[in-house]
Amino acid sequence: MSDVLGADSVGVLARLADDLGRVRRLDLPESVEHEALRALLNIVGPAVASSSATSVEQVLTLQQGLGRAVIVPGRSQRYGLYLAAIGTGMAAHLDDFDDTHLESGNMHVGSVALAATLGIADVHGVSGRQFLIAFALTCETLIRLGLALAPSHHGEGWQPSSTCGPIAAAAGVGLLLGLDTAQMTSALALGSTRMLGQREALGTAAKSFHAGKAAANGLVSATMAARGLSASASVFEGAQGVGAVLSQGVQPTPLLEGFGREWHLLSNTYKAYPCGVVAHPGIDIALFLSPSVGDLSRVTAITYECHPLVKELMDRPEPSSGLEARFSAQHVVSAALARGELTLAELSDEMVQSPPVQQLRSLVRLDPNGGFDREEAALTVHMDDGHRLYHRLRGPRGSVTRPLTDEELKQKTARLAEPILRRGGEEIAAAVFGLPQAASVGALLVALTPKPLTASR
Amino acid sequence: MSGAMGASEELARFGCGEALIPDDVRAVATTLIANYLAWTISAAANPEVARLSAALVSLGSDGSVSTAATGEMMGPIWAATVNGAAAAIADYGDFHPDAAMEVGAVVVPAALAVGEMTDCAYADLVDAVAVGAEVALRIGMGLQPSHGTRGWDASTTCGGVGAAIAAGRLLRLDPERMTMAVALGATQASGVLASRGTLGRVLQRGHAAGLGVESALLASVGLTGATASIEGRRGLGALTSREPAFAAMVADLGQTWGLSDTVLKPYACSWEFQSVIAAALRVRSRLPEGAVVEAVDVLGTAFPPDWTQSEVLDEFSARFSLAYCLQSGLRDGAVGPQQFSADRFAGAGNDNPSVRLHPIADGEAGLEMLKVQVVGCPVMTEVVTDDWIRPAPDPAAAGLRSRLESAVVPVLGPLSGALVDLLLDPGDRRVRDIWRLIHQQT
Repeated sequence: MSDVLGADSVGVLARLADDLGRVRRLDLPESVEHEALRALLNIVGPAVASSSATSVEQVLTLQQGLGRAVIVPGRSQRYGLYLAAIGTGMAAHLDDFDDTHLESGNMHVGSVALAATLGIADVHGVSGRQFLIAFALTCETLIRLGLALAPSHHGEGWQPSSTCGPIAAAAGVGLLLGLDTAQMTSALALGSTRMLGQREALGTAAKSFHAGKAAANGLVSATMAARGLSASASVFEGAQGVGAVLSQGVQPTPLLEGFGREWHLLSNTYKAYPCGVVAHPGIDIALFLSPSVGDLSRVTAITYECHPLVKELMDRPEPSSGLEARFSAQHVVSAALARGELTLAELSDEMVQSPPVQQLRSLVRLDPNGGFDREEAALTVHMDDGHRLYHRLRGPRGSVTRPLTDEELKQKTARLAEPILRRGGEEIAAAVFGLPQAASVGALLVALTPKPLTASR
Repeated sequence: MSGAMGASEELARFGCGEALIPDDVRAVATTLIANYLAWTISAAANPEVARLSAALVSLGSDGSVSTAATGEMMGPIWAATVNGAAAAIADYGDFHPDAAMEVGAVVVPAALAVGEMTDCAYADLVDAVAVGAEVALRIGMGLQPSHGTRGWDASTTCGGVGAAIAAGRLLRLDPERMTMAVALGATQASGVLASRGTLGRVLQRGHAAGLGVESALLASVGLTGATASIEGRRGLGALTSREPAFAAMVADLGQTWGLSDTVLKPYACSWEFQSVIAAALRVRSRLPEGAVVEAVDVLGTAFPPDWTQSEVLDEFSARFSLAYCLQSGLRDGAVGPQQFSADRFAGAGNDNPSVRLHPIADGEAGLEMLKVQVVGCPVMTEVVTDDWIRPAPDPAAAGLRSRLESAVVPVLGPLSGALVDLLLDPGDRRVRDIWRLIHQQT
């Protein structure tokens, strides 16, 4: 625990609340506004695509009266704010096709930010710009919290998006509710005591539930603060505070320094493949080698040289479901090699049970290399005639060094959302990129709601 | 542990199993429910509970389950959240010394919400609380002491899992789904000791009760989590304790009951102060009439750092101020809920007599001796002991009835006697019978 964190007379959360209040009155810098729009466009696709997934349906069955009913992107029915937040965040993160901020502990900010802010923006009739600022600041706060807890937090086994999520979500909702500094401090404190998310849940539906519930916990926290409820303003700091229980080296500097001037959101990345991000370099290589492999039955071994985190997070040689396969380095590399692409289809339950993929998967050997950075990998495919195919790569598609372009993001969103919304990808992208000029989020809500089926004559 | 089954799964199977629950354990559970419900009702006029209720309703809720404090009907998750917070307001619940937990305020509201939703027999509610509390306490004992010294509030972290077990049992979950209820509860474990002395502590207890209900409901419709949520490499144990004892969590499960060691706190404040308050009251009983206490010196081994905080802002901080609690005890001869009523904090602070802490040796936190300086008298000394730690009273005990009546009479008036009768001897009643009685008044 840093001395600074315990010694300051003004608490960390009060300072964060003050910063949030100051920054919300400013216009986002052009580059930040553009990145926030990219982050938003990127997340609505996965949210819509998984909006009717089994686990999302299971959560939404808890519907117990509507209250202030709001949308869950991709669904026609409306839900109460709390349940909508869980369902939206869960769907957005379910396929692991969202975003990643590496330095803050593999943080996935878009799912939490979208789930926290969309419903409340609808209910309170805020402008598109106000919504975008709240969305951007939720993302930024979440990343900064992760940086404040890094690196031990993620390493120990926490899922930073959901441990820090309730605090950041409380910030975003609090901004939309117009909380003053004291209320915002309470919202952040209440969110601090509602953390969740243990990495033991990787490969189960609970992992995506974490994202939705983190957003919902932030929503509850800010709503309580708006009603005058509070918690200890110093609950984050101190020897037994939230920061200390979650990290061995928590420090406030990354959370607070340069808030509103320097934006970590600018180094957020958007996934090109729907699975754990640490395996993306390996997938890129597999896709590159795929055309050269030819007859899969001639492959005798696959050596996957990787960053040690790949083995730590994704060593699952025999996944039993599509959800688990998203965290199987063996599966994603095999499927990419076999199919020449890695889309949601390659991560379906059926594909996991496919004999050729199972056979190929059994040949993959992970070879962690401490000298590799996270964006680096090498793959050697051994053929039965002794021939070897080898490729090494640093910086996969969708990484900081090779980010998805706006056009690629539009295509990704269109591919995921069009079949469910029955709307063109251009309409969705226009609704997102039109937010800075929009008087409300109405057009976005329409664009994210399935177009009614017209009866054929 | 039997075979390859992990602690999470074994505790889940116990939670939905048919293990015989001994009568003395059922008696403790009955007492916890009665005590919890009485103090939940006593929070009827508490403004913080009303604010919480209004906030949650605005986020979406139906009207199927009762809230004791506000009289509103809500969905089961919110009802458990509100009732859990309401019960924690008085801070006059139970305590388990080895687990360092006040388990009732989290497990009981969760069970009560689902019990009303399913219209279960009161006997089933008692069993659910017994089993849910037992699981929570066993997890707590297995994670302590480092769980607490790191800053986790075991009442809420482990209590949330126990709440999921109690709720899941009333939902008739099978072992597989109960394991998922445990998983969803465990991965949401939250709540820190840094919240002590603030409204946040009350609210995090309500949150734990609500997430327990939610976990069980989600498991009942098939949502999945980690099978080894407690003992897994990245599970609750590894993340919140330095030396988690998983085997101890399941040793003699169903044969020995930690719940039997649960006590009711005699004083409505931090459990850490109970021994020294008892000593102070013994001194007071020896004081001559009209004696003026000048100062109190507390001698002990290393005191927890927050014991030296003397600022009393409200009823929440007062319950965690040793000075305030000792002053109240020596002045009033009692440290009950009345000593923390909001009107006591409206005016000037109470700062007499002065209370001083004297660390006498290094070691684990503990109290040794109380020295009370009285004007015109020799210094009076009293050894601090743990003799207040006694098993929770049987529902038939006279002291329990008066404790419950002191909570409910101000709210329910003439109906109080009938409610207390029902709580202490529920017979073959159903959970909804309690609420029918309460709703007649509220």
